[in-house]
Amino acid sequence: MKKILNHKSKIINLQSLVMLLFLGILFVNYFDVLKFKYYVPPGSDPVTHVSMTKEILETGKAPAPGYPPGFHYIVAGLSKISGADPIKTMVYFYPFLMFLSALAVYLFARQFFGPAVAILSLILFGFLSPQPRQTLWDGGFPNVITADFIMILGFLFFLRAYKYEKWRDVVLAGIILGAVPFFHHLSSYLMTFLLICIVPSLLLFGFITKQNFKKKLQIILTILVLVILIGAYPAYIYFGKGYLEQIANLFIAHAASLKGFIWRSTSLNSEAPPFDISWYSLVISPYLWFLGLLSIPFLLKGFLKDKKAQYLFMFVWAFAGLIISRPYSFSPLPGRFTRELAIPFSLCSAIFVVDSLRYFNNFWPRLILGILIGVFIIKGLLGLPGWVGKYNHMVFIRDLDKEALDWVKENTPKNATFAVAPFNNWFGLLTQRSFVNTNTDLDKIKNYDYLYINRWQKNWMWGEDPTRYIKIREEVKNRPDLQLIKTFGEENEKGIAIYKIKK
Amino acid sequence: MNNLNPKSYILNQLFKELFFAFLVIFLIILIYGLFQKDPGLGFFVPYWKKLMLLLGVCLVFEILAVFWRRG
Repeated sequence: MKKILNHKSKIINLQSLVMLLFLGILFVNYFDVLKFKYYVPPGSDPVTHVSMTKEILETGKAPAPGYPPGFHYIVAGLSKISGADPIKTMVYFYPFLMFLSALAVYLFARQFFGPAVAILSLILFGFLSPQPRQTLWDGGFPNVITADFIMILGFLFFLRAYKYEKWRDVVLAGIILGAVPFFHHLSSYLMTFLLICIVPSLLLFGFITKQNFKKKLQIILTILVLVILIGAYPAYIYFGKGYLEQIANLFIAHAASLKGFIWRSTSLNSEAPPFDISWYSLVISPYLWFLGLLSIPFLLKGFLKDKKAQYLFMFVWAFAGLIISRPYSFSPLPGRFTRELAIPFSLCSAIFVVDSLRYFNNFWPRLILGILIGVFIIKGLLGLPGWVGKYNHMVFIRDLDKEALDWVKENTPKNATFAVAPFNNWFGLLTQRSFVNTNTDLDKIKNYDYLYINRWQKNWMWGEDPTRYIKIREEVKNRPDLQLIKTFGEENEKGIAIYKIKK
Repeated sequence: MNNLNPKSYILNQLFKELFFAFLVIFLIILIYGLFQKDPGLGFFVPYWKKLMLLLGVCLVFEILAVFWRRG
């Protein structure tokens, strides 16, 4: 009885720790949004995501095929349920994606590597890795929900299906991995590449170890057929040929059109150029990079000696991830894929820590190693306060902007048209007025009713150089066709000015 | 370890000790790097080749230690 009670209290303690870690992850990711009262999510990509969500809410369907709309349908649904507008819903939902991502990592690790690796993965991934936080704060919401949540859950059921040969897992793996193309195109590419590497490795492993190879082959083929039927084919019907070509061309077009393949790869390359290999420890974080690499012998031992498929899965996942993050012709966005190493490397790091501590079974070596690894990880945790306000400079709408945009919304006719100089991508969504960003070209503003001159602050979102803002200010001063009606903040390039355009 | 011959046993222990020693050195250097003024660009980027070399040595002994026949 005492044994049972002890076991129960151990489980409860473990659950409390896991709960605490998840609460910590929520706290860390919601802190900035709540403390600094974000009006909009950081970055400029969310403008597109909010616009898509708004269109779904207004028309009931996503805009013409182009961007996978899965994430936007979810936000539209949440917006409907909560009654909040899509911008507010996005602001309060996007930090939750980190929670979902951490949940997927935890469940995957818990399923195949036990509670110790799972908890450590959660700490490493949730608190020490700058990724996918960086992707998230860059506005890559569909990327995070897909590559770091849906795909990981899909992999969980994929590996479960392979290991335990249950048809329920096969169906779940097919459905979840099949959903990926509806959420994010680049993640679809990543998943395809990983599956191309993982499937033959697992099949070869099953064949060599003679672990019911025929059944495993059936299972994997069924999952792949389901992914095609549920994911790829409907995506083809929905998005048209062009969308699937984005994924497929990078593989099959190699044979069909070498020129097209190279063009596509190199053109995407420019959007996220590859990181120099010396930067990997910074992009992924030194904790994950070095501990992750140290796991290689334990991973090799796991599948070569102990015949455990999960170690092979991890090895191929990390290795294939490394390959696709390098500037090869088949790697369209190596820079983006480097960030996606965070999850496999978190898991590998946790495997290394747990397995190496188990390996040194004498007291002193284990204690010394435990202390060193502990100091290493604690040093990382001490860096958490450095994240506070780290992405504030990417929030384009601050108090002054909100005040000005609210004024526009309340004090100008609904059908008024605006010229915005030099630009403010959030203008239309926050004022519900039609507008055009004019940059410094004020020649055609007579076609509009108002001129909104945006403020400048030293930052890449606004531009590091204030010259064009100063130029606009100087030009409007001497124009008789403009009547200043309202200013916000300083009466120079650091403030906002609204002019009525005389007809 | 009783079923290992003395030579294998000694090698087994040697690889294990060497893996431990290099791992400790490597971790100490990483911790030292983290405590630098700019642990990123000032330490992990300029010294990445040396760090990877030390990691490589560590990995060699780790592979030998992990894969060497143990009792």
